[in-house]
Amino acid sequence: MKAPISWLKEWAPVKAGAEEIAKRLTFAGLEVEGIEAVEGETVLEVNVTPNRGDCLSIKGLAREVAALYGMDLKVPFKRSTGRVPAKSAIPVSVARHASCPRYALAVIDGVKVGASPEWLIRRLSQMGVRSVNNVVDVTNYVLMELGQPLHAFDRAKIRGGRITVRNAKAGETLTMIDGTEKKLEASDLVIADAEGPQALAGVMGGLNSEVGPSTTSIVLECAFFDPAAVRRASRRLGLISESSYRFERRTDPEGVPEALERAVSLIIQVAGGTVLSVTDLYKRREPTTCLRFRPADVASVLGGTWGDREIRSSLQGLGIEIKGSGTEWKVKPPSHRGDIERPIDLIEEVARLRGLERIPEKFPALSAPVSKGSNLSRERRVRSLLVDLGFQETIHYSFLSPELSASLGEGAGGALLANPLSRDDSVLRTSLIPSLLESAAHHARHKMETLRIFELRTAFEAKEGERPVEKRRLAGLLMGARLGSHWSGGVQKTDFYDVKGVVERVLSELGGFGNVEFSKGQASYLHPGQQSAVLREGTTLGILGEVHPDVLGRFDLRKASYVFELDWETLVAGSEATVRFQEFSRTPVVERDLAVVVDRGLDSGRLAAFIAGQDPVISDEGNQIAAGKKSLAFAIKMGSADRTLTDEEVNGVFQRIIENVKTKFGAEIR
Amino acid sequence: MGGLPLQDLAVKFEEEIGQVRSEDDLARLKAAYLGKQGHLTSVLKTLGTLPPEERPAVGAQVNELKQLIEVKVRDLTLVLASRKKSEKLGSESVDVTLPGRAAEKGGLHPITQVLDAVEDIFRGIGFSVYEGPEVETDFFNFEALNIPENHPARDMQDTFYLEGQKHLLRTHTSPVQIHVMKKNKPPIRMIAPGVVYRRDSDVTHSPMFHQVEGLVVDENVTFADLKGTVAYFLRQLFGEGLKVRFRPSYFPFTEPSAEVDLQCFACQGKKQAVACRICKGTGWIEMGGSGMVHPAVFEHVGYDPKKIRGFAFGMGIERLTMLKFGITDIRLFFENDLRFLRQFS
Repeated sequence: MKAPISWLKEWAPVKAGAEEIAKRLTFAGLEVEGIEAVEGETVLEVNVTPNRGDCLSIKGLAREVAALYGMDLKVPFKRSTGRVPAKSAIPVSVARHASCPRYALAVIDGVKVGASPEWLIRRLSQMGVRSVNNVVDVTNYVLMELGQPLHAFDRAKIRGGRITVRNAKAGETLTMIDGTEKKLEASDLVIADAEGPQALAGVMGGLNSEVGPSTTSIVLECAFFDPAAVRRASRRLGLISESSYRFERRTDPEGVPEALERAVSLIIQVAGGTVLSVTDLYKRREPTTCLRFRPADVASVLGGTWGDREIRSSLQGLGIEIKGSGTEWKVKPPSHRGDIERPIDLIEEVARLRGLERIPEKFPALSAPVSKGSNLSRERRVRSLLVDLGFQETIHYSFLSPELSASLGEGAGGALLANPLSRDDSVLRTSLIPSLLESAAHHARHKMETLRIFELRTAFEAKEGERPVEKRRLAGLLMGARLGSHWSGGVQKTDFYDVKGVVERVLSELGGFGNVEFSKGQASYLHPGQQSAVLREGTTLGILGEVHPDVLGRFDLRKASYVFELDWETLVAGSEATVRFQEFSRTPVVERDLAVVVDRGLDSGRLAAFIAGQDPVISDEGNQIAAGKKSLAFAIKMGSADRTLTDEEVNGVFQRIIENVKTKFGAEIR
Repeated sequence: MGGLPLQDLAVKFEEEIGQVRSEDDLARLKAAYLGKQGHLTSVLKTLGTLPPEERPAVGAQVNELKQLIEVKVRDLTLVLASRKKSEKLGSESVDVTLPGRAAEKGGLHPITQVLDAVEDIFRGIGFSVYEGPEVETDFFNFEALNIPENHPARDMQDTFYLEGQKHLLRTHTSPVQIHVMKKNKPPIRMIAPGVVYRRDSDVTHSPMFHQVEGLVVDENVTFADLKGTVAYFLRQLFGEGLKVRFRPSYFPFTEPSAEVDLQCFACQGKKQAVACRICKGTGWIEMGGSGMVHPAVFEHVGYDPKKIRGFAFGMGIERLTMLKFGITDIRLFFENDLRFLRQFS
């Protein structure tokens, strides 16, 4: 809302300069965002919050200034009623009082539509409003001055000579003064003549009845429309006007007569004419708000000390009526303050008028312990582990393009945004991997081809017609040289066991992976021979492996890339187990080496698990040496919890292992 | 008596030991004197040919010389061993300026770093941390926060909706307040850090960004407590002694509401020849919104606004991060370029 200083001072004759007024307004909740010089006038740009529709006028802002400086508001014009018939010169009826509680009309005959006088053009220009003609300019002037929108119809264009305020009928259309044609719906409130709509109530007038050079007789409308009704129509049709902006923020129903009188007298002043009638249909008055207010509550909500006299004068300065004294007052806010509905609203008025700097800084006492909340320590530990393992954390948008979303070539599509900013940001991601691959592609284009990145964020599983399921995922990508490759040993390429090692470290950070299994994976976007599903007791924790060359191709990536993605909730679900101490063996351990040759396709993990399961083997290490079939070497440690094993016992167990490895796994002993 | 007289033998030994350069030379020298065929052994062997009265004197001289040789050989052995060790160590010296062998460290995203710092400050003063869903219903995101449908306050936040359903991406972390209050009884002292979405994109606006929401609900909470808590937090993050001011404003879910400004940590509001880049010469930086919880919000969650009060505040994490690190474009956070991200590790 713009406010030329001289206009403001016509209403609130303070001596203070623009800067000081701006500061006072800002610290009373009406932020002055700028002070500009427009055509020799100083104009304040005030950011009026949505609750303060009453400040969307010069009068409204002046009311605030007057209250802040402790003076009375001065009305700079005389309200001349004159003796004018109340029976409308044009029949008018209101069919929907709920949407239109007050509807007033003035009929003026003999106007000469033409250019506006200099002062009127200048004022409007300072407000950023273009001059149209003297009649329209007056309606805009009064809108700016009093915050009450008005609309002038060309009386000659009112077909059938009567006006009805009603809801639109199915199939009705209206061409607006901006030239656009709108299809109306039954919920839209219109101003209609005998044949159809002439204006969309509170939003915009129709082109047909617009006041133009040939107009000689006008019907001037001044109404109070229901804020929600105006907003609904304005949103639905995409029409936002100075009028709709004010109506939806609630105008003052009691301000209607003043605005109409002001407009009539200005029109007669600048365009001539005679008033034939002034009619006011006010059928549904809003119930008067009357609040019980305990002044002591000011201190108990704000803190600090507040005197009754100070509270009373602050409220009265805003035109709030107070009856009674003592501990409870009866308080009646003025009709323009629809936002004051509860005692807390009065406390806010006191706070903002007296200034929040008056309130001391304290620290809240706690009356009882608070509930525990979320445990985010595991997220932190895993993030920190991955950072130690050389990973850079990334944060990608949750939405991506349909192509990127489908880039893995599997899985259901993601949930779509109804109103994305662009197609590139229109699908909620179902996996974090596409974002990581896109990031890898970005870095490869910039010659950064050694990369370790991860992300711990939400992915969204789409459900037809339902809320998507939010799944926190931990995903990472490794590309290029193995981390820790050194000048002494040459550059080593990252391989499958690097990504597996990372996942193993994550699992052990979260409390071990005793019952976690790695088995060949089935994901089509990963290398068929270099991928693993990560399972715990039949539940899939996630997947890891080398990205399929076809997928790499889609991202223009040339370097082999390895990814993992784990479901966070499933992952941490198994990490809550409490640790119980177990007695450990203090007797010596005997070591035996076993080297075998097995089929290339055999899972060495199965063999290792079998050996480890043999009592009294207490640990083993598997080590794969690639060969025609393949060679596996195990260092087997044997020991007993309570005594030193004899040679015979050790040899017996070792022999049993050898036999079983031969028969159960078809192994040859080397 | 064969060979040299003892005197000459001693002189010859002194001469030869002076020539010894290695442990091998020394072994040979030792053998040449003390070995089975050595000079001293030969002398000892001739001892029997001497007249019996001369034998003790010559024997004593031979032993004396033998001991002398043994001592000298032992000493030189130590010297040579030590010299060999230092030669070996010398040959093993490395170029200390070459890089060490250790995995390169990665880094946390700057947003995560600031979120962690925020969490630590609030945990330190007894706040719990809560998270909530990113996909929300109209009730939690708006209605329960006193933002009814067809109210102009909805214009304050441009919302992303999901296709074919009523769900939306939360526009603020405030819905977490509602979730927590519906599940717990007062007192509450919580923060809710998290990601939020608004349909907006430019140098200072991103369609996805992060907020931290704070909520304290208890019997006798006042605006003074709000001021103290928010000021403590900002001073912890940006510097002790900075002033914090509150400007009345409007948020549908708080009443009274206030914007929070922090005294500029770069210029402290002192006038400078060139206006401060951080605060544009105003001396103050806008930090976020705050206020006393609106009674309507308490009614929505089934609390009795006559018995309890609360305050809430919210701040943009990107904004805090940009101020802390001097970042000028919010979009950098989500480009994830390592040349950007690595600067914060």
